[in-house]
Amino acid sequence: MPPLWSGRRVIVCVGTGGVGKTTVSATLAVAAAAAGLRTLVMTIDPARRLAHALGLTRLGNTEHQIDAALLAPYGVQLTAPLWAMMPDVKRTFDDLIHRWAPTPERATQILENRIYQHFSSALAGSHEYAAVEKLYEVYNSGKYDLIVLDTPPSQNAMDFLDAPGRIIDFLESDALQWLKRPTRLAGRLSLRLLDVGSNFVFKSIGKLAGTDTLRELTEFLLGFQGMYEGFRERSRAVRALLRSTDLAFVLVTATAPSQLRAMWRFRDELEAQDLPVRGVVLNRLRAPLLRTTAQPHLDARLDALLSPLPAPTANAMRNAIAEETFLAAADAAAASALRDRLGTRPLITLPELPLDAHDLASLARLHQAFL
Amino acid sequence: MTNAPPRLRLITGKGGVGKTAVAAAVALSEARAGRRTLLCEINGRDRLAGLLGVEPVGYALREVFDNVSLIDINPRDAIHEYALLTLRFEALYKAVFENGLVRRFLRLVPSLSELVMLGKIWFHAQEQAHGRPRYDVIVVDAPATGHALALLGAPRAVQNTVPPGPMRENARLIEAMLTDPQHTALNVVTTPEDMPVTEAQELLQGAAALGVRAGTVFINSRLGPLPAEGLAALRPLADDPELAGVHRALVMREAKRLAGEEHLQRLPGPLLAAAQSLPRLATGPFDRSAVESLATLLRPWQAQGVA
Repeated sequence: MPPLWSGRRVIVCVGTGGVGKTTVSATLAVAAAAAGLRTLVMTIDPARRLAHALGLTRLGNTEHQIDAALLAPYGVQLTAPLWAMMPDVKRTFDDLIHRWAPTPERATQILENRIYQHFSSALAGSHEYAAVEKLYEVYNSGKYDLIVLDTPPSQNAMDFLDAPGRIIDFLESDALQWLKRPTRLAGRLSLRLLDVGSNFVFKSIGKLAGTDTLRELTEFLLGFQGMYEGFRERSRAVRALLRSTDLAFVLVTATAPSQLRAMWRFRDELEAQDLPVRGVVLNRLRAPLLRTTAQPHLDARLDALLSPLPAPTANAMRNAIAEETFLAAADAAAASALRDRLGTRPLITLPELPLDAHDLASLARLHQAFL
Repeated sequence: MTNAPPRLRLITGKGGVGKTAVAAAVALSEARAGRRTLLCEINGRDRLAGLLGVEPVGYALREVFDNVSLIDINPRDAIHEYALLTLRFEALYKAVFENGLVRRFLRLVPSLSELVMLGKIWFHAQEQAHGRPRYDVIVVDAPATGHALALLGAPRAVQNTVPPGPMRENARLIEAMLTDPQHTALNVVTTPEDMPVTEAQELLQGAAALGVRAGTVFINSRLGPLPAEGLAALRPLADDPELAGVHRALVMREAKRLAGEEHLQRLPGPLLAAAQSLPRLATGPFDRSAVESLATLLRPWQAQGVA
């Protein structure tokens, strides 16, 4: 079986919260660099130990190269360089404003606007947009053979894919067209918005939200004047990248039924949009406790070891064994159902490790599964 | 039961730690103790109704069991309701708000969605029936960490940005409710794992900065220790061709448990000492009967202080 990334330059890992997407993305990247691809992993909000292991001590829009000597002691030979990056949402937006603002003054005016500050950090989709925007930039730099993108946890894959579209929609919204009209008539970017105060609709909004808020909002929207073309072009290009044949998706899930359901939902959403799903990674699969089905014989052997113990101790052990057996069996059943349903599509399983897989030793151990 | 205003319990934590299940269990245990309980979901797509095995409720509050009413609050309906209260007339509302343009605009007003959803909760906290508060307890299945802090911070944000007027006055009243330690507590849910504990810390710090009292911390899926002599007795299995897996699974379980306990040490000492632990339910699907069994494990609220 060829590796998940073969023939692609971008692998996007999607999945619901808590499935270990970030670890899987990092593991995939380690495997690709071990296989000789110049690889960048772009990650969002990693666990502190993973961030530390990867040398990502703070947010930054620059790539950080991972020292191959760090992985060598764990038996991983990187045959190509490996980088990691943790995009900074606000910085990414600010950079866009600087790039497209007609004058530095206009850029400052927007950057200082409170509505913009809210928009660039708190608006639904701003994380997603910043991630794809940054992806577009590094993709075009040509520095990498493979980029692995970790995505923010979300309830549906579309949150991420729709982000560029939402920005375009927003910029083309009626609200903006409508706002721009009076100022165009006035022929200048003045505060004809004062008209706003006498407008019936705005009066009502003002009553709810306050007229200062309204003024700032209007200033923000008008501040974008002259920048729409740039933004729109960019959003289209980013959207095109998401649909290009250079890119494929990998679905990440763990074994809980709700996580598996979310994974199938993502798969359906992606396929409904004709987006290529390369495979599924099933993370944290528990190993079976017993290798044979000769239960009575094995139970007797366990009993022989446990029965000399005080009753509460023996019971605690029996309960723990029963619980772990149940969980492992449920995992095995989930994995087998998943395998059946996927048919010939690749399924990579990663074993559960004793500790959260947040360090280089764990990445080293897990990366084999991708090779 | 009493004329005291209802207690407000905001349940939050990292995504995936079992917030919704804990919120449901808290509501069921309050209701069993005879308290009239309102269980609120925030933009939850009726997940609680699904979990409890009742028909979806959406924004139409309904009593689903004895003493348990359920509602799923969303910003759209909450803005509608709030605007109606402010603008007084449905026709006026329609003219203004059913305009796509205005809706897009409102989406951009910082904290407006959060404020109106809190406003809805505030409204029910003030509600009277038969000369006393309609509810004794309001349990909110709040959003995960970042969104939860945005929600709780909304009244402050609105007061900082909106000039005097009805909205700012409402924000002030809502903030007064949230910051009244007799009234409101933030119940953080975590599991004994790295990221959930990190987010629990963020929540506790965020709540403190906003003046919201931290109530009981719930530690979900917390395992008890395995007796050392029990593990020692099974050590001969480590290289056993048939039973090595049993030994390995128990050793891993114990290693994970210890690592988890170490992560928990990052929580503030008094909160950790007073935390309510909940077991990992490793049998069968997580449904209403699982919620009910969790509910029976909760300490009575009196023992937890106000909440």
